Amino acid sequence: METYPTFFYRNRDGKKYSKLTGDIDICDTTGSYLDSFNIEIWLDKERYPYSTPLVKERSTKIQRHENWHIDKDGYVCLDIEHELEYKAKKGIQLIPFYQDCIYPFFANTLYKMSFGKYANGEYGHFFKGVVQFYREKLLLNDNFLIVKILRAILENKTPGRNEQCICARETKYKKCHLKEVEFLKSLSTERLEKDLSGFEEILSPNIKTATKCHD
Amino acid sequence: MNIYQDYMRLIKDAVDSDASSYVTKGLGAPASAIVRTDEQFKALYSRIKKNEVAPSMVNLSESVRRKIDYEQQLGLHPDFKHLKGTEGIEEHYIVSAFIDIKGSTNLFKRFDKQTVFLITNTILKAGIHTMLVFGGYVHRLQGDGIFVYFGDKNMREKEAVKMALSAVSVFTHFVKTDLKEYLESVGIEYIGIRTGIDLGYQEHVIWGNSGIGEISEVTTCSLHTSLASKMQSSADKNGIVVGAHIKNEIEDGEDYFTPVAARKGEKDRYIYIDSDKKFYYTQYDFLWAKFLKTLDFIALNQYGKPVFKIKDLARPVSDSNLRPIAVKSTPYFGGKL
Repeated sequence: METYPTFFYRNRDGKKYSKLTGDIDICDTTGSYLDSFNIEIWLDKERYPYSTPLVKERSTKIQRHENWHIDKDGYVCLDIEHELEYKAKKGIQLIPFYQDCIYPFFANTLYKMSFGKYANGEYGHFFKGVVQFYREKLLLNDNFLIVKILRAILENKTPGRNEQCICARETKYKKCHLKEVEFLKSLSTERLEKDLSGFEEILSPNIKTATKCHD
Repeated sequence: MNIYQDYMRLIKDAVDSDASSYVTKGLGAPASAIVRTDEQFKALYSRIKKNEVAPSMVNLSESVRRKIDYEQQLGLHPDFKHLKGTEGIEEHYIVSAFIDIKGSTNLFKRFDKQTVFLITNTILKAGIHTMLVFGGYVHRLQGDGIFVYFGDKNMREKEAVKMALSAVSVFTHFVKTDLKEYLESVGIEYIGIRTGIDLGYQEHVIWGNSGIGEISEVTTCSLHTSLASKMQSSADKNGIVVGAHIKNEIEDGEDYFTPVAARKGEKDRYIYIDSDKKFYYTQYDFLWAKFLKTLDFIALNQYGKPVFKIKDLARPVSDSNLRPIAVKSTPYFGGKL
């Protein structure tokens, strides 16, 4: 609150969430002020810092449409859920989260308002975005391999560090997909099962074809 | 803060044209201690006019929405000028602020006397203009110091206190950031300001003509004007110390003031003690950096640093200046949260 004293904190005794309310002032790298959004930041009191803050835009400057990554109640999608869940697992300190996640989201929204598109593109909506995340951030392009990795994690059958990698290359696991798998292992079972189901659905025609050929 | 950019540019131009810069630029030692022509000096000296704030400060002036009184004279508050040369007195509250710029003698170690004059004069102009923007009445200039009143017959005490605190917070921020960073970059280590402010209520203040004939000024006689000067000496570098009356006029005062005793020890809790009357007057460090961030005309950037909050409508959003912040976000929509 010393850094951003214009945000007002309410503990909301007896409620699950506490709330911060205030203006997020968007300034560019030269220090020129551009615009403000009035927002609420909701914090799960019991789980903080191990939960993702919810952010609601109150000033209604952002059109309530999925193309603006905001729902009809004003809650915004700051990032892909996988990244947010990963950060929450490690513990989210509010000020760095505000500076590195919330602030850039609203700066990017203002960027789109000014130039018609996001500065760094965006994830596709719904499962398309998940596929894109696996491709761009985890560098996993092969859906068969993704399914194999997800199953290995869910069945607790990931290899030892010096064993052969899940991808079946002649490379030790620690020098191959260890990093990506460790990231995925930090996510909830529910998230991994949902992803597995999505990728299996994408593969289902291929699986059927593969099975047919085999017969 | 971008409102001071014209003042900063002038200071930089003065330094760039200083004799010592000939050496650092590889032009060799100048033949004379001063290398500017008279015309060059005059051009720098007159760049910031006395009767208008620099263009970069115009937006601040507009956002504060007070008409700037350029006609005011030292030692002659316009609401009490009828007392000049008379034996009349009046009682009226006043906020007194003493602002002292420290360390400017260090400038002589590095620059020629013309440059020192241009730098100190520009800092003084920036200070005076800041005070005028917030409705201050500059009462006296003392060396590198400014003695300024806030409040008049059309303003309540609470508003005068807010204006005084806003003015000194903005100016202290400028000295502590833009000015300090630049002067350090050219080898000047210590420049800072110290400020003392206090409020004397009507029953504690007399206005009257002090002195003889033209060797006089319309001034206040008040314990709290004297204490403001004394509290300035209690302030840290770039610090502001205020009396209890000032604190009492600010809502949520506990958030913005801490007793000086917390910094200097119990012996300095009170700036004035009258044991017979059981009057103990507390002095407080004013947390100006925090207060500054709450002002209507201040925005907080990504890292909570204060910037001036006026949209420059003539200047469109810049792709290259917004992009570096925006690219850190890749938004996603996965349905209702």
